[in-house]
Amino acid sequence: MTRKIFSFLLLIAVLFRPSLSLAGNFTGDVAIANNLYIQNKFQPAADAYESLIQKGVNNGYLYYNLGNTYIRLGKIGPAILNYIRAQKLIPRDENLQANLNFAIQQTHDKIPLPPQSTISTFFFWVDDLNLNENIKLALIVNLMFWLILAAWFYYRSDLLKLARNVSFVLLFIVISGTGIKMSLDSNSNTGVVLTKKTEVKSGLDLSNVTLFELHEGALVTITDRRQGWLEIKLNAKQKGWVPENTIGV
Amino acid sequence: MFTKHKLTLLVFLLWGSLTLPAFGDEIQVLATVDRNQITLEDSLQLSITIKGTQNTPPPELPSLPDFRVTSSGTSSSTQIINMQRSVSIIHNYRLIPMSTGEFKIGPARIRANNKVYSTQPINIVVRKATAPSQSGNRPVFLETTVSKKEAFMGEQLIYSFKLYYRVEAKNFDLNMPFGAAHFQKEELGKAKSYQSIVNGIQYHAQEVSVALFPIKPGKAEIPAATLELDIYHRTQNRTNRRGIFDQFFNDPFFNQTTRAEHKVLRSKPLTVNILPLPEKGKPVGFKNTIGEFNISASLGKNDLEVGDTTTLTITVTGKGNVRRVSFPGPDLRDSFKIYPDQPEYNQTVNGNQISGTKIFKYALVPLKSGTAELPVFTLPYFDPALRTYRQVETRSIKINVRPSSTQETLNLVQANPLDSAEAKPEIEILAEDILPLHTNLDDFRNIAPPLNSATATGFLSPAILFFVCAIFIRKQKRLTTDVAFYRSQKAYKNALKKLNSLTHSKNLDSKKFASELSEILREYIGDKLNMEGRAITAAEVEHKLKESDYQVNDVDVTRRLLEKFESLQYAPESSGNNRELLDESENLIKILEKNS
Repeated sequence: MTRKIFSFLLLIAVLFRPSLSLAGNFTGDVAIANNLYIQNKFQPAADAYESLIQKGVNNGYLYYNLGNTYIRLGKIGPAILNYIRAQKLIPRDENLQANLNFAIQQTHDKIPLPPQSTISTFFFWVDDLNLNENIKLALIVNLMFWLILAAWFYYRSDLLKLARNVSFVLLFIVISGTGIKMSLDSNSNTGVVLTKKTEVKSGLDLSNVTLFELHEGALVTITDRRQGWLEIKLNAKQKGWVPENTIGV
Repeated sequence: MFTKHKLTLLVFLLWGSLTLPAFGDEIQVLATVDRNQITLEDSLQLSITIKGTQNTPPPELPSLPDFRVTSSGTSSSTQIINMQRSVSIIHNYRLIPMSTGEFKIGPARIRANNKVYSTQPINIVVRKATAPSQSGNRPVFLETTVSKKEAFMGEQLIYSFKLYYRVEAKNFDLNMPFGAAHFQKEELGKAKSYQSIVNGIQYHAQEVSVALFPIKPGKAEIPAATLELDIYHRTQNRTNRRGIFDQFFNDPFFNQTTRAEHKVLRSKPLTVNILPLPEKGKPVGFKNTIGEFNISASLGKNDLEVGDTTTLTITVTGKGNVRRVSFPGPDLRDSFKIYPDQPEYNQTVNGNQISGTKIFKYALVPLKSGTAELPVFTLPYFDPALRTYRQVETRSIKINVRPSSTQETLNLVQANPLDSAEAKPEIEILAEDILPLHTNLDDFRNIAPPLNSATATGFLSPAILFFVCAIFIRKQKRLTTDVAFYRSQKAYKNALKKLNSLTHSKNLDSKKFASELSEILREYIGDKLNMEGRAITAAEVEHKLKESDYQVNDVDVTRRLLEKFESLQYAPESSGNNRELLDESENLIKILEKNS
């Protein structure tokens, strides 16, 4: 029995081992990129940040710094795109919100971010936490539920019964919230115009009628993707098709 | 061929045949009870079944002065057998006995089709419930207590009702009369819930207490309290072969089956001797204030001008019925104008003792200048603990009244719009820029993909740990309470231990060796099947093993081996090989253990 318990604990320890950094010690590279930025060498700084992202580093502050660098380079579109990427990872960062709003104000079209979905109104904490934080919250509530269940199992009392029911409902809500967050993140359909100007066509060909024009940094909602073209919409009336390479997702 | 009209007609006729009353059916009425013998704690289910019709007014029940009758609903049924339709309706009543004895439930009358039908009478015996002291392990019982058997008028008594139960109980309906002719009642808050040990058995206890204040002297009776409740008895399916998960999921958490029983519990009436308050030493101004009190007085301003207002506050605190304390206003009519305020009363309950604070406020407006002394407020009361009258009073308060000022300086402050403008200067935005880079390198950690094996383990491991621990602990618990289970679990280990010791024992002849082996094998089987193994014969072993679903082949081998042992024991010359016999026995026990 002891051997089985030991094996089980060992399995947990192996599964919970600290994840090795896939990009090794990349903070040195970040420090170099930050220094380049401070020395007003914005293009080398942007290249250094992009290089880290290409290596697989996934960090909200990295996207934020890259967004800042693109602002300095006058590239509003890529800046907004990186701010939006950063927002998924560091949703509560006030500097990020300020810079994103600033960047949107610098655009020609000044299209605000799409409003929250209705379901996010009910699961109000979901947008304030990134996906990892949502999962950690679910793990904590899950552990709490099982601990309470164990306590109730051995020491039956009305208080523990109430705690069991409350923690079960809480667990259900938190897991639902995490599922919603996953769905929102994976089905994110906000795109940013990356070119100085793009013509929104009525069909999947440049010969089609130009319905309206969008400028760099404009935020759009992508509704379809076909043959190298994206269907975008601004609202119920303004929608059309643009070449895929003009929009960053 | 069915046309649409024919089909509609057929459906209509079929529907009509089902909905029309069953003409020609004989109407039968029947009264049944679920039990004929009950105790005062039980309730009786009376069912009046009317067959042949469902359209009757409710039955007219006979007079039942010895029972409290409540309706517990009706149920109706319609059956169609061989195209013969029969209908019936059952009216259910719950009868709660009020006294012991033999009673007859007279015929109930049912009016149907302009006729009157009567049910047969039913005899019922109601006995006393078993006293709690006689059966300390009752699942539920109650008791009522009063804090004192003798008390003065107006003295606070605590009347407590306690319910003890060690099974699931719900739907409490408490009737707790307190003898309104003799007492005034004050609530002491919500019911308390706690665990209590009675005669070594742990019970859940619910306690309701009220404070009673006697209002007239003499013998006062607190009538019996009654509590109706439903108790739930857990039932478990005891089968010989249950998987480990069957046992686990049979836990109440996973919807164990329960049987409800309606109970009516009654307490015994209590008697309290109420003493009148002594006439000797009764102070002047005594207003039946009983308990233990303190009094204090304070004045808002001691130095004021004629025409100003100050507030005199008299605070009475103490144990007992502070609510009844009252004062006449201070006699200051010549020098002050007095505006009494509505007294404020705050009650607190500490333990089961009512305490309270009553605050009397008087707004005083001096009419003339000079130094005045406010009168002392006195509160005489009877202290039941000391059995004597006592008196508390406020300290005297002096007040200095100055003549009214002729000019009044208004210290009004007006908002200056210029000031506010200066206070909040408009900030001129000179330029806008982005906020700086994030340079704290500690924050630059790679965010791993959220869904990985660690996440899955994190979610699953608490559940797995819970189930593993639960199964383990349940098994340990069962080993301490279930002898059959304990014997079954330890059988194999014990048998191997004995076989091992037999291996090391020397100088055993074949007869003795066979006898020992036979005993070990029979003991093993006895432990497995929870029976006395030593005295069992080979034929009985075969029978019992077959009953317990062991494989026929293993059963045959067991019987043959036991017979072999017997023949070796009683043969004139032993011819067995001890080593072979030992191996054979060990292998058989292993096979039986594997298949058990």
